[in-house]
Amino acid sequence: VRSFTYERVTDPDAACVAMAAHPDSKFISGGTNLIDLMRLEIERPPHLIDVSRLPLTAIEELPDGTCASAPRHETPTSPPIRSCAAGIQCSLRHCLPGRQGRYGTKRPWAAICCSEHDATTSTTPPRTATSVSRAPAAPLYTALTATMPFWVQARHALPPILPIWPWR
Amino acid sequence: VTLTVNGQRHHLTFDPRTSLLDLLREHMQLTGTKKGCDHGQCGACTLLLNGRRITSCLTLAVMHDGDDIVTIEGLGSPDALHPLQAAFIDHDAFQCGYCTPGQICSAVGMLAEASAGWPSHATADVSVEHVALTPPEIRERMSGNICRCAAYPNIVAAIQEVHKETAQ
Repeated sequence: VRSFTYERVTDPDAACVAMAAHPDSKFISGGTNLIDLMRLEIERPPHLIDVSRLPLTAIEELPDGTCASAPRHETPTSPPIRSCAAGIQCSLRHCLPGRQGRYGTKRPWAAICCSEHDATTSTTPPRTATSVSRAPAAPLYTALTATMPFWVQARHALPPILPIWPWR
Repeated sequence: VTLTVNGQRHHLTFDPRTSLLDLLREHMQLTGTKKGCDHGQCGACTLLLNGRRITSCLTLAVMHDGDDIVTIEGLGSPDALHPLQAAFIDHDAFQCGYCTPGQICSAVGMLAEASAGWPSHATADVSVEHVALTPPEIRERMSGNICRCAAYPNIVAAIQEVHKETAQ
């Protein structure tokens, strides 16, 4: 591990000031593989800012719905999460303790947001069943292909010809 | 840095690059906590930090000034085993034993999480207050601890027995 300087902050403003003073620094807390990457020298931060002691321990309800953002150990049993558990259940699964969510493992604890009718996570938005629509073809292209024989038109649906023939 | 390890306060000076695992094993000679993958994937280095389980290879020791750490050495002694240690012996829940300290520390933390009402990925209804610790629940919650000897059935049985005893 490359050498680095270490700083512990205890409020969000101090964290912002520290990051402004050391733009190349990295935040560190639980649920990170930063140390792992530093061992492999994939990450080489000259300065680490420890944000694990920020007093962000509350679940906040926002006017436009319920938004939960808290340390992972507060989230599973918090009343706002339980109150919208039916809608958020699928999303919450991504963040629950166990192999995925344990403190110190690679998967970060996700902030969870949900409204009355919708439930999404900030990291893994659920997929919705939407029809795929193609962009309309240019008029000239449409006119040209309409006059082509069917086997030429069908050729457009096939993979492109290899730019280099595989045989000599 | 001041750490309380297994009930004893220690004032320590070390390189900030030292992981909590290396501090315990190399500086304090507490070799009960094992180094497996050193990437947070195997769970052999699991210990209890302020009552919660943590993979100690993925956290820096300098981040835990003032924290309370319990390793496998602090859970019980040969004369007075922790109930989980005794259950692991009774159920033959190990073969080579390398993962066992991590398994036991993880099980202690897991039982505390379950009693606090934390749901898991295997929980059918995350809105319930008290989750029944069924074998699938235990397997999911312990899935961060890998046993290459595949003693999983006996590990689950040992944990289930302790859970039933404490519930009574």
